[in-house]
Amino acid sequence: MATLFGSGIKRREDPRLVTGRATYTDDVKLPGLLYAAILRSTYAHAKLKQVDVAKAKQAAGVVAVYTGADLRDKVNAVPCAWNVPNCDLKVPPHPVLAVDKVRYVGDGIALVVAESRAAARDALDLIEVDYDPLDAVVDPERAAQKGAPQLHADVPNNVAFTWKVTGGDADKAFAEAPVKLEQRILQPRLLPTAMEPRAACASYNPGTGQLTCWITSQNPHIHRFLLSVMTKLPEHRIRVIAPEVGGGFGSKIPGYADEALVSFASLDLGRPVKWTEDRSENYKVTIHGRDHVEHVELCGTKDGKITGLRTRVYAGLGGYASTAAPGIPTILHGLMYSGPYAIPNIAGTVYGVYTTTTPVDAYRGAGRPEATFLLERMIDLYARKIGMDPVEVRRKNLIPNDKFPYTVATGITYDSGNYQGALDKALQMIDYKKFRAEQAKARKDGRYLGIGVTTYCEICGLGPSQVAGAVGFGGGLYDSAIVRVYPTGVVRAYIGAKPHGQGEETTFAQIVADEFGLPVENVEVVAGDTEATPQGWGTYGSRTTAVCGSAVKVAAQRVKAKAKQIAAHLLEANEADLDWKDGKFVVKGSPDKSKSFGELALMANVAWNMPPGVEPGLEATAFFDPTNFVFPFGTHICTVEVDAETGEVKILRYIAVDDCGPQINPMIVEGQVHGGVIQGLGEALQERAVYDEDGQLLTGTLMDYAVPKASQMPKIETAHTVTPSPVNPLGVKGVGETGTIASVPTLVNAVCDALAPLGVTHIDKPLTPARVWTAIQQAKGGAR
Amino acid sequence: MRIGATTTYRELLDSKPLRAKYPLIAEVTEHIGDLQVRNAGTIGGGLAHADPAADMPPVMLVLDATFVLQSKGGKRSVPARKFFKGPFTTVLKPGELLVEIRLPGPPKGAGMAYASFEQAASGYALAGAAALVAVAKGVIARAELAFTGVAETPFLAPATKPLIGTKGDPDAIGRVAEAAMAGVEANDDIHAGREYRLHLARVAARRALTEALARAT
Ligand SMILES: Cc1cc2nc3c(=O)[nH]c(=O)nc-3n(C[C@H](O)[C@H](O)[C@H](O)COP(=O)(O)OP(=O)(O)OC[C@H]3O[C@@H](n4cnc5c(N)ncnc54)[C@H](O)[C@@H]3O)c2cc1C
Repeated sequence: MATLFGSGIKRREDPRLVTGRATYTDDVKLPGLLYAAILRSTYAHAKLKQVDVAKAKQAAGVVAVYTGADLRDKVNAVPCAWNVPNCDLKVPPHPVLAVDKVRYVGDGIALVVAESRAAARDALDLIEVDYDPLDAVVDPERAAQKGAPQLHADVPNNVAFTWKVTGGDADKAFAEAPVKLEQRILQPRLLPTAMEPRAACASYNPGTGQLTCWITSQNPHIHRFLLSVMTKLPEHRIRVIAPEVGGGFGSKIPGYADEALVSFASLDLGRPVKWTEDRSENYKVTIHGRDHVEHVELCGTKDGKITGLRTRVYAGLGGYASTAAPGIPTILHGLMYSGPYAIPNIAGTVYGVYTTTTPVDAYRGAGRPEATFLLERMIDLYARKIGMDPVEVRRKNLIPNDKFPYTVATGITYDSGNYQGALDKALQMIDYKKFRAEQAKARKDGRYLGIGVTTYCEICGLGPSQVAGAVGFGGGLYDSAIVRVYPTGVVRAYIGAKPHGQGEETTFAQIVADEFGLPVENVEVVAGDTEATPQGWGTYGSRTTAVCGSAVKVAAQRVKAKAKQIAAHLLEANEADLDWKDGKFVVKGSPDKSKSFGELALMANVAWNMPPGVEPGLEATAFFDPTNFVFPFGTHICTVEVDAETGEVKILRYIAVDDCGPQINPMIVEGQVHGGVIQGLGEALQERAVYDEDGQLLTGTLMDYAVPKASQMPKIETAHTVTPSPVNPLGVKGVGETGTIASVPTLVNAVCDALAPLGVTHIDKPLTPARVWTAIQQAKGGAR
Repeated sequence: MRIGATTTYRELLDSKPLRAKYPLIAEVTEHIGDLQVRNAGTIGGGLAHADPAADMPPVMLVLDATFVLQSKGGKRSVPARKFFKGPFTTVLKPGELLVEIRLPGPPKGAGMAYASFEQAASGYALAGAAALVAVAKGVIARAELAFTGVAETPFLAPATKPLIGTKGDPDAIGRVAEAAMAGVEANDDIHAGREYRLHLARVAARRALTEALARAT
């Protein structure tokens, strides 16, 4: 029987998504439903002198209005759940509604609950807030200087933490190296822009004492815990349901004040309460990503051997520390400074800095795109400085294929790799030599062609729980599955993770169906309801398939082992004498003596004739905790032509060669690569959140924040190499973020390469035509 | 030709007579928004809205359209060249509607073109130029050039005269494009600084005039 593993079957999620039949949080309608609206600060930084809600309370349709002062003793602060050790982390309280001070435009001030959404929104205009404005500070490096406006009383210079990573002796390496270079690199703030904005709908049942909360969540079990902390309700009386979730990109990992507010209101009023943000609120309140100011130094030999890397990074955290925020620019960033290269000496310092802006947390790639970008950018600058081909510099420093598992200077151990293989394949696809020849010819004609080559690896499949504990992550990082076989032989898998667009409803069904020899239609995958699914840790960090998929596999294996016991009993044979063939246990040498999976499912569930001592039922639960992270890798190549007159960048070809181990569903892998690359090209070319000096978000709508459109993006050519991971039974590695991680430096390096004849060495992202043109003028000694 | 104000962009694209006589209108319409926007948006709504970076206004300027405005009190006609007063501001009075767009027949043998640079998020023009060039007896008899996205309103370039009577060599076109920006207070925002926007406008002018000339017969 052909296996489903490896087959690019269509995603079963898609028909309901594309025909409008999916149920999102905002679609939840309950009898007696009330609607919440939240008054948001219009100042980036101000003392709250007075919040007068008297008129709003009187407005038609308004049921209740609450201020920060009302909730101070009733709802706990929003917790930060990643307490990175050894960095003097300071997490000041983050009240669900501001009490005496606001710290970003969008900070919550008052909650209105009304009979209709319109009444709730209208009442916001009746609330009078007396602000005493304070100076704003939006740049993380500036915020960390003495004399900058102070956000929190107990956080001097706004520095939330000072985290260091060291390996080898970087200072010595720099002192001895014949070649040194440095570059200031900016990683602009980005807006995650999930198509579905966030929403929460809470329903407290005073009769049972149970709270049910529908949340746009990537990790319902984490949200159950965070809600329990904030509402003070014990965890076993809270049910979190994440129905269809329309994208997250990290922005639906954190706990937000908003779900605690509707939960409190429902508890207080005894009626269900719903809140849904619109795009403008989403851009102000839902976490942002990136926001680094980086000072990077690299040193090496004259013939291309990198000997050291040093960084000093200011990572903006926004007004408060969001749920996972401290771990992103540290554990998920600094530990990856070696990339796919053997860099013996590394020293990095990362300052986490509060600024009067929207909180920053995990955004697709979360720390690793920033690490890959700075490294890949520095390597191209290094190659240019020593006059060596950038591909040769990379090849010279890549970790050799026979060295895995390999421990890099930052102390982490890469599971498996074949970096040269992916590089060779990508170079062959582009025909590197031929392109260089074309480029040389074009330059003679005054045309600017360029090529960027990124060799990358990244850390994902988060991760061993023991490591999670050691690095201060406030939870486990195993995941779970229950595989339950029904009397009629059909199957459901209840999983602890919560896919929201990645396709695991399909791929996990493929895993289970293969194990039992069933058609894939006979397997359903259920996620997102804490009442139905075992404790899990959610979907992020490209972990769902490597960790939760492995739990599914192990649970299915356990079910099959029990089915085999029953088969042996019914066939009066030893288990050792049974073969599994075409969905049946067959007695060796007696092909007519067999029991199908369906027959065994029925017998287990009716239990008329079970082996002695074996319990009825056919289901198994597995909690899978990996022994290490997984490290997918690959090579991306982009060729561009730059119009030097206008600064416009045209992508000629984009090639992505990724290795995520064996692929359960190649079509879904390709989709993940496409999405990731496009998100990265958006970052490289046009996306940037801009605040003015007063902390007002100037890119507050889709008219000004340039999410990439299909018509702006190139065709992407994908290919793969296959290097299994030894750390999970499927051999798989994550592929949800590789595209975002690899594509940004690929594009930027290609443009800088194109403009090399003009003397352009570096352009800050995003490479809008305006910036490219300005860089050209500057290189020519012209305009600013 | 007369176009009712509630004609959708889609209807403009589907109109054969319009395409034949004013191909530029169809060409520019294809630039506007996306399929849904073109299916629902109207030419009158777009013009009355007077977004300073909209694509259609400069086309109306080079074609020298006349807008018919109507209120309870009656009708009046206003040249497109006098219609736009500022960002999102027109000569329309409260209670008055734009009901019709009247287009004079284009000069014989005229070529028309539009060149623009889009703001990546909105699709509106960072700078755009529409041009109309008519050729008679081997030399340029008429040249019109208008801009959008550059300043507070779309505007007609006053100085295309140097092209009249010439064959429109690249240098002459370049000088007209350059002169068109003299004294212009260009917009300056997060998407394009003043200097870059002026530069783009000159490039757009040059490209539009060159293409219009190439299309003239
Ligand atoms: C996503 C998107 C992308 C877009 N991209 C572009 C683009 O790339 N380039 C571009 O040029 N435009 C673009 N537009 C704008 C589009 O051209 C206009 O929104 C559209 O033409 C407005 O037409 P409407 O018929 O919907 O007018 P409405 O939106 O209904 O009206 C606009 C305004 O004009 C008033 N109004 C409407 N009709 C009249 C009338 N006859 N008389 C007096 N006042 C009137 C209305 O009261 C309102 O104030 C885009 C719009 C959207 C939504």
